[in-house]
Amino acid sequence: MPLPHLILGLIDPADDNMSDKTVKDAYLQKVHAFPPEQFPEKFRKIREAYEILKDEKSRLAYTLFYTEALETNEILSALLLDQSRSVPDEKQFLAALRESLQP
Amino acid sequence: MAKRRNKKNRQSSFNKKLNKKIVPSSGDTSDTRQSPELQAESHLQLHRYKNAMDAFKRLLKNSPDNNQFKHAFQQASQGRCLQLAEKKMFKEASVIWENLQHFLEQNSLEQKQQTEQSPHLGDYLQWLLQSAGTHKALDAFIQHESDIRKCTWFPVLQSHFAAHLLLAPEQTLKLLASDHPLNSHCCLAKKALKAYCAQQYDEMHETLKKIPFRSAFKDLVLILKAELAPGSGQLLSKVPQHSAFYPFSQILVSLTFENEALLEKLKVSRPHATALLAAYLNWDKETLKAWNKIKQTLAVAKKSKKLIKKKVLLHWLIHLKSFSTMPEKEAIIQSVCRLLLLEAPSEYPAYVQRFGTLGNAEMRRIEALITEKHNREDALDEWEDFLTQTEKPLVKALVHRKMAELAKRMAGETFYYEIEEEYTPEYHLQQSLLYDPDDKDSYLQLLAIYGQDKSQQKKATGKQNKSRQKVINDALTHFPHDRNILIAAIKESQHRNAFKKAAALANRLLTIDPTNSFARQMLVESHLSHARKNLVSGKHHLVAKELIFASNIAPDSPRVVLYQGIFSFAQQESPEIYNPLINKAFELYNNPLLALLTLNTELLTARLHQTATKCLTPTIDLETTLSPMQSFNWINALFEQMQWYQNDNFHEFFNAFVKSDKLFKLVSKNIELPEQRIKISSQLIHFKHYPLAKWFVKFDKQLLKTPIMQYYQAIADSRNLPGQVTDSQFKRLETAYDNAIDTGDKRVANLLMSLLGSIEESRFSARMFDPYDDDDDDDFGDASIDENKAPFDYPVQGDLFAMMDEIMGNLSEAEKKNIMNEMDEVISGKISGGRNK
Repeated sequence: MPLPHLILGLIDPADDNMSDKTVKDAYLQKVHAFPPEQFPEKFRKIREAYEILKDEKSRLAYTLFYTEALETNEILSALLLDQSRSVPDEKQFLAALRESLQP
Repeated sequence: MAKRRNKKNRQSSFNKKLNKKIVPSSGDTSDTRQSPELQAESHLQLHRYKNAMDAFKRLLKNSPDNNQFKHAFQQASQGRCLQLAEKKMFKEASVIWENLQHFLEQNSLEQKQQTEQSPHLGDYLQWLLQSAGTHKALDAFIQHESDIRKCTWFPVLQSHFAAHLLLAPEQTLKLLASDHPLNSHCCLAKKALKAYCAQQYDEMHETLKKIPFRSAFKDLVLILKAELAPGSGQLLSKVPQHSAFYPFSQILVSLTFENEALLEKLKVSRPHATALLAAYLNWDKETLKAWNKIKQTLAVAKKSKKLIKKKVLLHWLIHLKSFSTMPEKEAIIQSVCRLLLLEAPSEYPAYVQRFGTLGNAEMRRIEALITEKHNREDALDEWEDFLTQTEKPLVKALVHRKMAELAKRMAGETFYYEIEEEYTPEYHLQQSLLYDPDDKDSYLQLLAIYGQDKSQQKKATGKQNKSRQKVINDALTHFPHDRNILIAAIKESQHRNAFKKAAALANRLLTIDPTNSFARQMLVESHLSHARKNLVSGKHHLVAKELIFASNIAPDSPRVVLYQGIFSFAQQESPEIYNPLINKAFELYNNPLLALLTLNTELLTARLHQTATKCLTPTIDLETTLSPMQSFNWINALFEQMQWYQNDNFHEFFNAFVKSDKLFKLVSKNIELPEQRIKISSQLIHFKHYPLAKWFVKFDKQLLKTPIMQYYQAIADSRNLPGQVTDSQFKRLETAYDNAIDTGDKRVANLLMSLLGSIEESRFSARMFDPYDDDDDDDFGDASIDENKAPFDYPVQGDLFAMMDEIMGNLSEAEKKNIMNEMDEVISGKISGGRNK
């Protein structure tokens, strides 16, 4: 799995000081936000990411040996979509509305 | 001036061409020789509304009072309006509509609704709105408001008015009375939107409450509310498809998608929609700019149906500076770039420019990961270098494990007879345990290596044995209660013939897991083995003791019950005691073939057979409705048991097998599938029971009609004969294969294909020893070769047919000749062709 850190919302994948507790806290936070009953697919990914990062040994193994380069969509998702949401300004809202009215 | 004239000329010549194209089309009923009335009518019928309008206009000039022409003109105009609207030419459609209304007024005619699809005032207003004529549309709306409100299409139209009024300048709104619902609701909607964008949600809610449920702005209310609600997708889905706000709501719905779908939506979004989504996604201007560049590249790649190369991706990440404006993303970008470096190492200089040089250890790591894709041996060296650059014990342990994995794969690929010690998985796993002695997986892997089949394993040296014992002891110390470790240790002890230790470990395993079938079976076998030895040496009291132990562990084990019967027989030769036991064992086995083999083997091993056959009469109740699959499974289990006996040096099993011939014949008659019969033939030849093999193949002849094919295959598989097929025989087989393909006999074609494949493979290995080969490097063994032989046919140790003779054993000359002829027929393709008949 590429960049499991991002799935758990851990910013720095190369952070050497990342502790088991940090990872577990991030995991629990995500599970709370995406309970398996409502988001089975998302939960599966969260669980998978946690399994990779849960202890020092598996974290190190991932850092040392993971070779699967990310695909374009994965990179773009990681860099552009996985972040906090905002609200547009009125102009942007109305411009998009105007555009949507055009055939 | 000259330019304008030219343009006009070009237009007129284009129109001429267009007219030329339209008028004389094939199958056209409008002939130029027809009367103008007929021509006009035909244009109308063929939905050429533009031509029909022109034609009826001309006709009306000549006869202005002709009502038929007037109605036809009206019909043509309406059709034209719709045609233009379909082409999204709303302005043109509305102009024609207005001209038509003017014409109807002049001629005191009423608007006539030709069909349900005919355009109406509502359509006209929508065309006006869509062609930026909000002002004009509002004027028309005010004029006919009372009529419009009664129409069924009003709810659709009002959402369009709402959306356009929201975007229209203030002056347009002034056309409406201040207390007009559209005006007042529009002001409220604008206020709510302003509050939403300023994130003043309380004020927004208060304002939205003032907009009534049936308002023209109700869909906007839904959208604004949805943006704050957790399940926004559901609220947005309530916006009806006919609403003017629907396309806009769909843009916002994409924000609720998973990343992959959202990305796809972003790739196809129009500029302002992208900008809106970007704003929601918190992108800055630079990121949006970068995205637009990426989008172009993606579009080109999609068009050419190619994936974006990793090199290009890396290039984006390194060079599109916009990504670096997000500091929290920098670490992610660096990680992604490192991963991409593995695929595009040539971009390293660019990487250095942005992120600086990599450390020595990191360089070695990347180098090793790149190298291992094509050269595992070099990769091992790279990892060895990496180990010198790192101090962390856990990293060293992990790298040794990785090296063990590489060495394991290398061992499977290499042609070398000897692998250096530092290239063996065993070495690296042992090394890894020095740095991380708690790794269960390494212990398990090592125990599996130690417990490998003796035939595959090199004899361990004394030093190796010591280190192995240490590893096993360490594993049992670190994981004293682990089932997998205990099972692996038991297997290892069994393979070293350390049965006492194996039994002790099995007992330990049973204390942890009392139902563990592996431990039970192991202990039962151990006790039976002791019982067998004691029975042969006449120590009956010890046999009884061992059997009690065995039955305590597995009271219903068929082997134990069987041996109890044999022991009873050995003690006192009375059928009343042992027969019930033997029969019970047969029942428990549920496979009489296997039971009979086991019984006979045990009796022969205990040297009791001669006496036993007089008394032992196991009743074998063979079901008459035995299925072919069940028969095959029974025989398969029998062969597996025989293999086990062979491996464990039970020399009596072959004689025991001979004694079950009758039953074997009975069971094997049920098997019909050629592949299964081939397998059985091969096994019979493998166990060297040639008389039974002969009988089996002769039965094939009756059953399958192509006995030789099976027979040959069986012989070839079991004796590795294909290497001894001559050129001419090979060519004949190829011809037979072609014939089978031509006649559509897939089964024979497949059989021949696999046979030809194995022959070729075998010939390849024969060529490895080719005495005429100039390249000495390829020859890794010294074959004593007769240089007078032709290289291609070497080694021919005898004719294939002669080899078959050996297997055919006691066949009469006539039978042999018959089989030879059939073989010849198969090879020349006659049978393959004939089978279909």
